[in-house]
Amino acid sequence: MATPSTQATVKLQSNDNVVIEVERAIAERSVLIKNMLEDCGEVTDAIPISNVNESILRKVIEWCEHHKNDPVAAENENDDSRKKTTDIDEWDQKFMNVDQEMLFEIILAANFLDIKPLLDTGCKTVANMIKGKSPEEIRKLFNIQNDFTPEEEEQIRRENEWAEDR
Amino acid sequence: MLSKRLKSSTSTSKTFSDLQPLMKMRVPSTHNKYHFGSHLSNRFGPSRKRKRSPQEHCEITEAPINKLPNELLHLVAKNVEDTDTFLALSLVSRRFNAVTGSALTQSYFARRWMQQNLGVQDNKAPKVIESVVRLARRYCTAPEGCTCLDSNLFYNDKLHLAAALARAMPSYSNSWRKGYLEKRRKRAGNTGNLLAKSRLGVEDVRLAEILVEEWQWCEVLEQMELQPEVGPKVVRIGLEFLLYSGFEEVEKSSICQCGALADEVT
Repeated sequence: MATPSTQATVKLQSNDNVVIEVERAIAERSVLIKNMLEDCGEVTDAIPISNVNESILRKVIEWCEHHKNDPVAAENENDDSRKKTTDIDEWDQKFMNVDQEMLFEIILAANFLDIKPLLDTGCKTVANMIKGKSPEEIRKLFNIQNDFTPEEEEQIRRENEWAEDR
Repeated sequence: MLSKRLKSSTSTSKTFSDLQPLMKMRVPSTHNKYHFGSHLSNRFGPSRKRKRSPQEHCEITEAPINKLPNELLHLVAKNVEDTDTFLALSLVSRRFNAVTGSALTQSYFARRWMQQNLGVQDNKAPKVIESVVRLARRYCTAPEGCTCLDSNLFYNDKLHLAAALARAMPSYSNSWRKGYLEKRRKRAGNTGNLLAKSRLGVEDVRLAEILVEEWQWCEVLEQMELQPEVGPKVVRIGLEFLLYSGFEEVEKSSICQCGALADEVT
């Protein structure tokens, strides 16, 4: 039977084979890592984080360090969703002020590592980026290809017309 | 279960290689919640690549946002702040159209919008607007087999509604309406509110946005001690009265006046 560990640090290994040692409490902001550590007791090897490269992993650890004393969010999301989308902590706003490539990698890493508050912050940041923008502006912002045919686009515009009639 | 299995093991310390096969079995949190992916249909069929000129081809590189799976695009759409942006998102591409068109995404978006914009301290709009919107959905959607209501009466039959609202337009003050509606809402809550279970969509959020706007406008006029004028916009506030006039009956019976069973919402 696994005994509760007194281990102070754990090693995380990125997918480009870089090993980073972090405080256990910080690593445990990730529910995935927390469950793993609980499951196997004391871990001597580095934990492979197979979907995350070094730069993103360091960034995620930076976020976890800053938020290590935050209360763990409840399963119920209602409390969190009372906050406005624009209500992102100032530190988090600066933290998320990165290029799009990194922003989406952070979101993917937060999802993989199961760090819900970081995932929410990432998604809110993207939602803020598109706030008040037209479809064309959103495409331009994210370099998205318009794959509608003109007829399809026209059909959706017609379907959305009701919203303009106020 | 995984935890129990591992804890029953006799070893107190494991190398991480023992856990690697198990680690692959773990599913990220959002996958459990939203069950997106294979069933998220694109109503326009599979994505077709348009022929591009060589110059255009060079300009288009892989968009970083395309790395996000549908369940994460769903989370982004859920966090959008208003219906204008939500609807703009639906026109971006087929993939975004499929995500924003999903009833589940719309339901989460609506729930989040209601929680953030109604009944909170720094916002004047009362929580009762959500009940009004839910009732509007019940009132305006014909139950299956119903012979007395046209389908989607409210959203399609604007003339009928305008006439009904004009009759229902009250001369009471906004604060009176507020108190009255809150009382009605509380009373309805005691009898078991079936409406709370109904799944809302983007059109319901649009109606709520209009009601909030009207509500705030009436508050401004009252602060200036002006009687709100009866105009096309202000008339809409009478919607609350029109809808609440049949509130208790709808709540109690869930049967339409023609005898058809009202919508059983999941």
